Amino acid sequence: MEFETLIQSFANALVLGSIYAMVAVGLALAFGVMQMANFAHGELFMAGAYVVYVLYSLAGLPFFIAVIAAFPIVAMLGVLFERAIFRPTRGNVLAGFMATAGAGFIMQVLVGQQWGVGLMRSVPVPYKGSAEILGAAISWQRLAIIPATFIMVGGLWFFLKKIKAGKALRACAQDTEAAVLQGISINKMTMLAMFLSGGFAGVGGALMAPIIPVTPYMGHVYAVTAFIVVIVGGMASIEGAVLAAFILGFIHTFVSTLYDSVTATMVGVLFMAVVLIVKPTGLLGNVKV
Amino acid sequence: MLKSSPKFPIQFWLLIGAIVVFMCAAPQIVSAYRLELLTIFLINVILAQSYRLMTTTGDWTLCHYILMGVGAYATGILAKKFGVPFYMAMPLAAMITVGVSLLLAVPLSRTIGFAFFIASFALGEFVRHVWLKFHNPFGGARGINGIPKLEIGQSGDWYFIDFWDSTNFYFFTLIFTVLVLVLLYRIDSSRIGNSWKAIYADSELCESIGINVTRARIMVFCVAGFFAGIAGSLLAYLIGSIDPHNFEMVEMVYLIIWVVVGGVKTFWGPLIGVVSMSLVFELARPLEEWRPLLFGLILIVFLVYLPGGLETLIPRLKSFFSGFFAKKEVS
Amino acid sequence: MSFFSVKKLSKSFGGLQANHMIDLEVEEGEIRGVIGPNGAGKTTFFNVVSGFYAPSSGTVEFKGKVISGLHSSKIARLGVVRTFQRAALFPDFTVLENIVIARHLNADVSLLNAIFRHNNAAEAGNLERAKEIIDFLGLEHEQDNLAANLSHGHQRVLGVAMALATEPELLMLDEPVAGMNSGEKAVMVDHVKKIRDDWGITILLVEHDMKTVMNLCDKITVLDFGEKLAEGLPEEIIHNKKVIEAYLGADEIVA
Repeated sequence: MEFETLIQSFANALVLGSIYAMVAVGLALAFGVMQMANFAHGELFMAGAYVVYVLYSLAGLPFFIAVIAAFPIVAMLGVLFERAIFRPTRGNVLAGFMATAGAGFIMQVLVGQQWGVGLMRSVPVPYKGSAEILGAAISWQRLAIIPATFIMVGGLWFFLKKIKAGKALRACAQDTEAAVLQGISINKMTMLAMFLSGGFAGVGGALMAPIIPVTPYMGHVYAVTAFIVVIVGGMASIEGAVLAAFILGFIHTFVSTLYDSVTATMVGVLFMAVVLIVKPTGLLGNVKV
Repeated sequence: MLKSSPKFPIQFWLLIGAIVVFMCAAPQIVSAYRLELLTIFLINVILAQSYRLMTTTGDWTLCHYILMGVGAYATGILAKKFGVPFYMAMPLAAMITVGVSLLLAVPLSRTIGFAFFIASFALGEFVRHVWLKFHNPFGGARGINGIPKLEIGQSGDWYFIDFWDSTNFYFFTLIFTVLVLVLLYRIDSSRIGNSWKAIYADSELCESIGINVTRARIMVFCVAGFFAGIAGSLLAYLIGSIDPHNFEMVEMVYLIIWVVVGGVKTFWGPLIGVVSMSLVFELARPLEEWRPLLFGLILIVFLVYLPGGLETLIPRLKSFFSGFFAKKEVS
Repeated sequence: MSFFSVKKLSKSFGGLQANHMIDLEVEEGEIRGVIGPNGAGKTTFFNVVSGFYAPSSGTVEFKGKVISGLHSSKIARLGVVRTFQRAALFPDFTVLENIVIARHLNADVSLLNAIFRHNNAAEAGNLERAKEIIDFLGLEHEQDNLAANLSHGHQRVLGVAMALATEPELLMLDEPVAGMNSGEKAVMVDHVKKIRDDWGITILLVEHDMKTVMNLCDKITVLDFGEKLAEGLPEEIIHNKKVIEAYLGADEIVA
């Protein structure tokens, strides 16, 4: 591999890993707190992209504002999922998971009917031009994702470690019964977890809106990858999700460059299968699912 | 075996009789296009009932639809590239599907419950990507076209049957469906079937009385795969071509919908699910692009409000109808 | 060749050593009890010896064959079967059906038979034997009851019945009288005696209830802090100073 391609791939891998991390972290959080597995996580990602489409492409608001707006909007969608689907199916992971598959259908149809389905909505690129790093060119639009992810994931880390509500979330994830005894409201925790889960997925989609085609089905691939990431990292482990996100981001990027993206996906799945066989709880996880 | 000979009430046999009559008369009553839909319906019944077999041990997978694809591709390749006649291609394809199931089952059996579910999803996607990647022999993204039609003998022979004719293929599929249902019913109500239900109830206890749970789960997966392969074979001959895009996750979700809506605790649950959801699917055609939304709602409603599926309503229906018959006798 | 022997058995979980260098030999036809104060490692010992855990070191041998580290279903096939302290049964099946299912090792479990049912003679035999076991353990009147509907005492008896259905040579009972009232305890003790006396099955049990153990066992092994503390006849154990000290008070042992 030429040096330039190497740098290019390295940068792309960082970007891809960042997006994977952004999307997977919410999944790990929701699963850790109350075994909420969201089949429609990709549709939340998609919703974030459409928020940017509507606010930025259609309404002309600044891109930055649209991305920030994606957080609360999609976060509320996450809360809706919790109330309507996860709460009544609490205790049955499979049921909640399949029910969210249904929710995914609903969202795809609604979005498709509202903004059209066949044509890809294209979002103009707000940060034009590219940076030149060691001879390789990477668009600013893509590069911006890396700091954005670090800020958000860092913020989440801070929230979980230092803020009362975040600590309550961790307590709930570690030992639900003990948390209840300490007066923590499970319902509030599940809503908070899905709020964050939705928010992160939404921002992920929002950031990717100028880069990939915006369609009602755009989230599917990212959801699949997010699940693979979370399994590899350990179903309830946020650090695991971040680590696995970058590992898989690198695997996918480099295999894509050397071969093609179909092979890259296959390698990623094989990697997951190997992890499952060798350490079924995931790289950093300790929850046997 | 204790659970193998339940007493079937007279209403059950009447219902069976009515169904048999309808199914045999269908080609006369129904257009060729609808007949093809009916044939696909039968294939879906085979698929759904084979899926149920796995759920008796508590194993729900997301790769079953893909296994049907494995059977379809195997049939297509055997028939087209190697000119194998159907009576060899079909059993071979089913055995190939068993082989693939075994390969998948080995890593899968290391997981349980939700991880099993997700891992099966990923492995199924892997298989689908294999089809997409390798032009030889799977045809890559274009798939396989021009699968030779099923026929017995040559045109001009007195025993010639051309299965390209919808009516002939319909009856061919109907025979298979009935056979498969009988086989699955026998297996389900046998000692082995009961041991699988026992595994679901208390797998630790099963181990202690000598049931090797891991081996049993792998076996169930392979047996279910066998029937999925048969379904795929039939599908390949029916359509004459295989498009990998027809095996995406959305189809698997529909399979889940049939099974959830029907229920899995009784043998007939998935059948009820396929019947009801196929009817809804056809009747909802005017909804066009809104149709998936309807099914999304159905899935959510059933999982949240009626998780046992429609089959849980049967006891209620039974008592309603027996009350009805009793009344008739009195008056 | 000894019937059943445990040699230098040790088991640790991470940093915690639950069993340390335990030796034990059971003769054929014996009823052996394993007791010890809380935290002595009895449960771990039982789980290792019945194949649910592999030992960290040491071996478990049955009739000259090493069974430690084997899969528990394999051990059952070799004739060593355990029961559970919890109510272990198949709730949606009747008592009779539960026991018939437990005849798995003596049945034709091939797919071919499932489809063609050509081996009905074997199944008829299993049904017979299941009924024999039900009569032997006094469960006739509960025969067609769903297992989930039984009283706790009867559920434990069903657990024993299912273990018997496998035709074991060595039966391991996990706290067989735990959670029972005195009536149920007496019944279980009778059953265990009969299992050895009438059917010649060797018994190894772990138990808390001192009265039961004194009453039932030919020989007793006492564990404390994961090690073997003492071993001998019930009268010897009851007067053993070290054993008395190990328990919180002499009152616990005196019958």
